[in-house]
Amino acid sequence: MSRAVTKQAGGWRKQQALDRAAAGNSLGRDAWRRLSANRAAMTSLGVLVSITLAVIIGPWLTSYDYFSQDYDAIWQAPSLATGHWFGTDQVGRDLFARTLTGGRISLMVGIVTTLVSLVIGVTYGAVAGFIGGKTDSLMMRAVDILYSLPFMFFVILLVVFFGRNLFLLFAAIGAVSWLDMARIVRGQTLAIKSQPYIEAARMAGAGTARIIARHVVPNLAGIVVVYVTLTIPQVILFESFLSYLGLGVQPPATSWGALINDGTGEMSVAPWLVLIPSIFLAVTLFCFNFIGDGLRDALDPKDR
Amino acid sequence: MLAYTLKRLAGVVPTLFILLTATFLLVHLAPGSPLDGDRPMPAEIRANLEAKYHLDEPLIQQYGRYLANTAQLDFGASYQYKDTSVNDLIATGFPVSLAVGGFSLLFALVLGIPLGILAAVRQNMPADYGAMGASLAGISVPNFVLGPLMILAFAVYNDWLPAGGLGGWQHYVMPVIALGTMYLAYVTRLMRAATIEVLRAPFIRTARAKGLSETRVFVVHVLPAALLPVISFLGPGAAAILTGSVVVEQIFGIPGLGRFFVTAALNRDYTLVLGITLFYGIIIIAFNLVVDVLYGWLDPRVTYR
Repeated sequence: MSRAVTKQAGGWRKQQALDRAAAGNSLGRDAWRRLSANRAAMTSLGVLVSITLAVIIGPWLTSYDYFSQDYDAIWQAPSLATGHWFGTDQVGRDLFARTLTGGRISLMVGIVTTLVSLVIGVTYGAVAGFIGGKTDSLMMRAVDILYSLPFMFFVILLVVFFGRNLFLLFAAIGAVSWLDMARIVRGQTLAIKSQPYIEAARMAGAGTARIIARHVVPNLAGIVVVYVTLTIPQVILFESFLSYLGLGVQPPATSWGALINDGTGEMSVAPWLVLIPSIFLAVTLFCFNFIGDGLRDALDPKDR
Repeated sequence: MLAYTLKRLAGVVPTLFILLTATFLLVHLAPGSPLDGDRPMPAEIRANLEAKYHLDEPLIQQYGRYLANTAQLDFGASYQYKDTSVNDLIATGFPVSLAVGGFSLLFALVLGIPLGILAAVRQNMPADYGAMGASLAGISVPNFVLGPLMILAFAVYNDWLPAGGLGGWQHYVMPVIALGTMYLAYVTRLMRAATIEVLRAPFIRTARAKGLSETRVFVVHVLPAALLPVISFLGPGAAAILTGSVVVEQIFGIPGLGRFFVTAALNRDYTLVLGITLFYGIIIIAFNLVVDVLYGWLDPRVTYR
């Protein structure tokens, strides 16, 4: 009983939020105001932008590249004097260049793969929620089934049987990380479906596909942005995990996970080899999670 | 109750079916044959081998054989470790993984539940911010970062704990912390959110209005309701811990099933990779079933139909 009451209250608030959205885009502005008041989230955003810029520009700032070996300069500690700002590894490769180039791969995997999961998840969830009835329960039952499969092992299985390449990695991780998105989008679609503007569109003669694409999906934007922010770190983690095991990106290409794996072996001689990529990875994940949490609070003021 | 359990049990069938079919198709769609070696093989020998491994039968017949074998939990022989069946390897490795994983789950629950309650009771106060910040950090620091850092701090720079292998309880400390921290963080967040929601529910107000003591309200009314999300997290949580143990076993050199899995994946030991995936799939499905039934039994709102 109590659950029903809280649910109703939640529905009412959502309704209110939707009404506000209808009144001239003020939900977005409102959310941005609340987010910019959240100092932790704004700091995270700043850090994340810096990391992204560093990863894009950084490799051009140093005279070293990420793959050249230099046996006269192995295991050099980080130093400004030598130009190896982050030190070198066991074959004399420059860790600064390697960390930032690896970061390109990590971030790219995170973003591209999240886009894959976004497209699948939003389409699936919106279709299931909008059509409803038997189709909906069948589609969501399929999601339930997929949920209870050990995905990590499936992805490894895929990589083992079909060889290791970056494209497969995008597709495989993307294909397994859309489930949360589908569930959330479906729930939200159910709420949107009963809005008067949907009825109006239908009365104006719009077909189901058009209504989903033009009227349902744009109104999902808020919740989708939150889950995109929370999916990116998961995917980055997933890729690092595979690369850490030696099943992700292949040399000479590298990523943060692969660098941490390399560094772990040299840990007692050259701790910076594991420390620096670890810090980059952890800080990036932390920032994404903080922004995602902040966005969720900003868009859904229920717990305030 | 029995009917509910049976219904859940029936729900397992399609899941298992998809697990088996997907793995089977994956193996058969993969390029190359397991018989392909470095040197070309005479056609007669190849035909003989194919007959021995039933590769000459139609696909549907092979599929039937595969289903029958898996139903008997027979995963065949390993390519890599000669004369050893996948079953033997699972029997050696799984108890080790189970111990590490079980302790990690326990670690996450025993610390996460009180921490989440504390954060909820002190909502928007320093204790809450501290617990939430720490749990966000816990989610953001992956086990393959935490593990090496702990080895560096506690085994390399200080000689407090063994860096790897298995032995006394000391060997479990770092692996369990490395593996359990992320789930500790999840459990804390879940517990906090659930406790906050329950504390606002009308039945808690009613309990207080009846004049029950705060302790009694908390132990009898708040706690059981707030624990439900944590219980439903146990299913996915256990799956995630099994997955995570793959990495942690690698870091700490623990001879568990996860380590076999990685070695098999790197050496393209098809049968072992497939066998462990199936085995873990079945374990996870079974565990989810147990959690579901437990949930239905604990939550009075679930109706047994």
